[in-house]
Amino acid sequence: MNKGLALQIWESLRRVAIGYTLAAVVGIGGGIAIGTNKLLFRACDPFFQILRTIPPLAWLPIALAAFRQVEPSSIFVIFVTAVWPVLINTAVGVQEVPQDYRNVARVLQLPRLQYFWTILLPSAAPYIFTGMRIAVGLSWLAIVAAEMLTGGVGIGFFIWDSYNSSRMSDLIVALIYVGVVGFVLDKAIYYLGKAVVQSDGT
Amino acid sequence: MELDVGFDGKRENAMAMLNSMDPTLVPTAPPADFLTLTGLTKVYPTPRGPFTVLDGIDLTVAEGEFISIIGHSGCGKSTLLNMVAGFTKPTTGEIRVQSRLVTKPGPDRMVVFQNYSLLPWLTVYDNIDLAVKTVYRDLRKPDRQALVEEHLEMVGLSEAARKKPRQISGGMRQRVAIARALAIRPQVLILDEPFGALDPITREELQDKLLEIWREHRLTVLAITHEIDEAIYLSDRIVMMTNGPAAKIGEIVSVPFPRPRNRQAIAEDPDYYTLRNHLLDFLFHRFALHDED
Amino acid sequence: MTASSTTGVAKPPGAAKDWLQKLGPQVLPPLLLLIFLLFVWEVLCAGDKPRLPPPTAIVKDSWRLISDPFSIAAV
Repeated sequence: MNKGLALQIWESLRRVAIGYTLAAVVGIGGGIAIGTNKLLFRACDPFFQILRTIPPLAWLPIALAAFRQVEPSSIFVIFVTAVWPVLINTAVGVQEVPQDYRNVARVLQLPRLQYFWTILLPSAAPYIFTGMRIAVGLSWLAIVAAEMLTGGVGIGFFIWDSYNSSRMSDLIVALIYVGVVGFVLDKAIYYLGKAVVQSDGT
Repeated sequence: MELDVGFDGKRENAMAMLNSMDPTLVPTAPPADFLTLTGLTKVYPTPRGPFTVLDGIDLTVAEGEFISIIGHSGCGKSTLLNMVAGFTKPTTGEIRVQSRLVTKPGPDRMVVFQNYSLLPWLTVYDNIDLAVKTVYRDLRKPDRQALVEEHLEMVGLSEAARKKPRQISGGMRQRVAIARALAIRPQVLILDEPFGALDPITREELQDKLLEIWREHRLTVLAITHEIDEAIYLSDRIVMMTNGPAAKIGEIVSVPFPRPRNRQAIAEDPDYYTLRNHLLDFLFHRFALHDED
Repeated sequence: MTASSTTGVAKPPGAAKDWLQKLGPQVLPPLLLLIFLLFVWEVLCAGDKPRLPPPTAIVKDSWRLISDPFSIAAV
């Protein structure tokens, strides 16, 4: 485990990046699907409401059993943590497209694909980024906790290892690192959202 | 002979309209009944039984006519407009534009919405361009650009073309909405309280602008308003609605003043006060709101 | 339903239908999805030594936990 703190963080960030990206893709795609289809929304919503309350770490054993490897299991935990806020916010954003904009689309007889790109997506974008911002914070919470349990590499493991070896100063430094990285992640998504949504003018 | 105002017919028709707008072409004689509403009713089912909003509306509008609909709030005038636009279906009765039955919204009956309904993430130019390129899909880019720019200039907003709706005033937004509506050459222009949210000076300016455009393009206009003076200044005929529920057309009044109209001259005309008092009497005595009784 | 009608507390004949019409759209879609998901899960985790147990195996193995929340888990 003789890697620097930066490398440990890098490992954790890499896992978060993979799991979070998967969650964003599935969350936005799924959110648009259930947001535009009432029947699908009614069918899925109860499941989402129950599944999203399951704490991230509770998924870890089942992931370990299914994947039998630490790496995909950690990524799965990130995914399953981050997907719900993105999914639910996207669905709400799609459902909340103002009637005014829908009416414009109807009177112009805007083709579906064009409606999607010029009205639905820009209108839902603020909601999607709200979900993505909640999700990135949760992902970071989850990865640190997951790595404490799985061991091997990552900042979570480093913290746990420091504790076990009574290296309390290292532990405190690591905590500060975790906090700063979490802060940077949150701001990164915030500014990304701001850049995208503002270039759209909303 | 019944044609749905569907997509295929629409474009052909719209292109024909586009050609007819060419000033070098001689306009054909307008058919007497351009827009006809026959036996329109609207009944909404509610938990406590059916609720009749409109009860038997018959109205015939000639091509190029400017019609205002006035009535108290809740008299179903918005419902009426929504049915002409195609957003809601009449419970019974039918609406025809020329001979085509109205079944759904379409760009031949373009609406200028009460709150403008511009897309905030598109520039002023792109808002109009979206409408133009959606309706005239075969139009080449330079022609399209010319069309958008022409209409921006018409409402005096060439300088604001690259601005977002949020960066311009309410009056300017309303002008964009009007430009967007006109750029697609609708057969019927539907205005839902178009100047309601504007200050009096902007309102007068825009009324004049609208009349100017209306005269130039020989549009058929259906407008909702609750301003009596506005209705008199703008319209050929004023349709007065009785109070809801089960609202009907109470009376249709022709406005006799010659065009182009001049506010000053109208205000000094003795007929103006007779007409105005007649409308006021209708709204505030014969069909006053119950809570004002 | 037949029981209630024989005991004389039968609701008006439309009641059951009303209930179905009101709650049907809310209850039926998730119910159908649940059945579908259980089926997929069952198929995916079929086989000799699956990594995760299929629903039928869960019910069979953990029946004591399901039926009696106060029982001590099977050893």
